[in-house]
Amino acid sequence: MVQLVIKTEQLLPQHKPLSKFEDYILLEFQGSLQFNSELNIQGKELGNITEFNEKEMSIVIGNHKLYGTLVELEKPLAIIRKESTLNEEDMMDTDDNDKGKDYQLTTIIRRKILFNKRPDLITTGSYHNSMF
Amino acid sequence: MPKDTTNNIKLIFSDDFKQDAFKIIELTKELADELEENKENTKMVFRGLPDDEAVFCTNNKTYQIKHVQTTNMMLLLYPEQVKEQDDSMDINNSTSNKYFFYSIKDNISSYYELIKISPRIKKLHMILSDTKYHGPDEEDRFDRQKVHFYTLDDILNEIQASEEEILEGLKEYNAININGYWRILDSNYIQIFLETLLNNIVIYDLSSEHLPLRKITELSIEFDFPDFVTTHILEVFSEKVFNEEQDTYYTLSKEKITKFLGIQLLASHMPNPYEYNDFMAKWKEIIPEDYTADIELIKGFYIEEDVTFQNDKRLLKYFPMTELSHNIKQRLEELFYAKPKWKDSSLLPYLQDIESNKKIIDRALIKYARSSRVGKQTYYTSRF
Repeated sequence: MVQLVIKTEQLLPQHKPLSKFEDYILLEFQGSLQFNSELNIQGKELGNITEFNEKEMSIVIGNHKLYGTLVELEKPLAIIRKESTLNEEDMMDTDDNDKGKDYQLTTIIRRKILFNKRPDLITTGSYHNSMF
Repeated sequence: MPKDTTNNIKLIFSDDFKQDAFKIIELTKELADELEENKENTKMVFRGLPDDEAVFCTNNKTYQIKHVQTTNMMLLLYPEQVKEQDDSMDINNSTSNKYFFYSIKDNISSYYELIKISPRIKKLHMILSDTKYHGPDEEDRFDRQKVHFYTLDDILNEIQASEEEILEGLKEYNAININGYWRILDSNYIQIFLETLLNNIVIYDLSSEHLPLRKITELSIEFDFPDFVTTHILEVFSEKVFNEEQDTYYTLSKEKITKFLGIQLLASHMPNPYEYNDFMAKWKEIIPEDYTADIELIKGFYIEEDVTFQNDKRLLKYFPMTELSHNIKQRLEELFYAKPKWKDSSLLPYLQDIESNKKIIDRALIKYARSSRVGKQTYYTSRF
């Protein structure tokens, strides 16, 4: 690699306030999702967004309800998509990992939704358990 | 635009979900604005040869890249819609035949932080040094030697700096574009040109405040200086260029010429040091009478050798900052290697070209140097 240009022409600007139906959205959770690495999760459902407005969002994943708030970022985040233009075999031939890869600036995130509150445990799916 | 009829939006891993298909780079607000306002002309480039640590460049800035791992998980979502949803699922009410869901595009737990750095321009001088322009007579030499000449594109491929910084660097080294290739003029060649020019000014009684290009070009050709050399050197050593009555006029910069000739004089004495008084006398001799030789002009190009037993002697040694590292830590290492103990007033000029932020310089000095005071004078010694 000598020069690797990130393509910027296709940058999708974000709406303000966020447009639910048009913008990329970044959710940040404390902790991580554990899932079976052998499982193919493509097309699988993770959960449901139950509320989403200009200030907050709540999500139900399994029997947990999580609450997130919209946070304005001090430093915006560039989201860059890496696309391989070569097939795997071609990739093996070269020592250079970045050769034949396209980098595309997809969008710039200026607000993320931060889930930093304790999740509620839903016992029957109809009410929140206050014991949690 | 469909109405937001539901508060129940599914989160589904996208059909092409692949962990780490996306990278996150933390930007500054300015850069984010610049990209959104002018995406066609704002460049984002990673630069670096296989052996270099890659840097990230925008149009005019260079950044070091730091990979930061977080314990948090970030999900990137993109809204998508499905048409003619199966009735049995009944997500929306039956009148709607579209429904929205969020597609999970990636699950990311690291990002890249950008740390603004000074451009790694030093190498620019190095790669251009092999093809220095010594005048038309010397050009054949290059044909025989098969030297590699550099176009701007070649330079961009090799130098870890933004395009604007590289152009700035080319200007700093007074590089000239000859037939598409960027060349540095050999300094002895420049010196001969300047000496010829100063002579001609005296002989033809020209005004160095109002120097006509046409006349100078004419005179210079007699000494085999091509037009483009004349124009280039006049531009470099003038403080003002103006057009008048179909000719271009230059106001020569006494300071720039004096400085250049002083540095040349000191360099010509290498590897021996120059005794201060001898040097100043010789310097005055080679510049016109109304020019002023002042040691302040060549700060950052000489060091004073400590002479312990000869009380009155000050020895100056050619030590150009232009040939030192652009990394502040390495620079300090090189400086302390050349001279173990520095006065603050002679050390600071050697740091100014790499960092204009005084705070960063102070921080580096605290980290890599030890300061001591003798009376009012502050000295720095190495901490390496």
